[in-house]
Amino acid sequence: MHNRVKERRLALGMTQGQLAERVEVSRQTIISIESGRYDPSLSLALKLAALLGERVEELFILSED
Amino acid sequence: MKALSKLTMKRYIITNAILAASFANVALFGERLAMGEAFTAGLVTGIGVGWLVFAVAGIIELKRPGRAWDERTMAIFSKASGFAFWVVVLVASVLSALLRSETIGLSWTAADLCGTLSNVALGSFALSSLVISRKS
Repeated sequence: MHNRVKERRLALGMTQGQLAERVEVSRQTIISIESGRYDPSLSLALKLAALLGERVEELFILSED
Repeated sequence: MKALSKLTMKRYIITNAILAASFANVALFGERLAMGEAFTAGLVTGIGVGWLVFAVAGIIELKRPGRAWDERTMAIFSKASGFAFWVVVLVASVLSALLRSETIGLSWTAADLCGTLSNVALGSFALSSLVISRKS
């Protein structure tokens, strides 16, 4: 699964720390999500989507392979 | 770990009181169990350090709710626990064969075996937590 979290975060001018603060996770978790090493839970994905102004299926995209 | 993410001041105080009582019990009455001076000292130190770690980690968590222990941290500890469990099962099964062998002739006591298994569990949990946190 890949995602557009970094792209949307940068578009909104937020730092990783600010985003982490808003969704109540550690900055390391945001780093891991953006790099694709960690897939968030459904509730965290929904929080991120709401905060970043995207639909969850547009923010997190299931890879073909 | 999940409990730490849901920590409240009330739970923090109650848990500290329980840990303090455990520490005081072992420190005051540990010698009466005649477990050996070194082992009793190790047990007192272990419970004391555990209490200290909880007290410090707990107060950090209370000051910064939802930051230090999030879902990723819980996923890491969950995976590490599963890994440590299978390592202990493997080591225990190998040891059970070795300790029965008359050719190898290991003469471990039950205390040696329990101590080794505890150390293997803690060591594999700590090591796998580090590796998994690097990779996730």
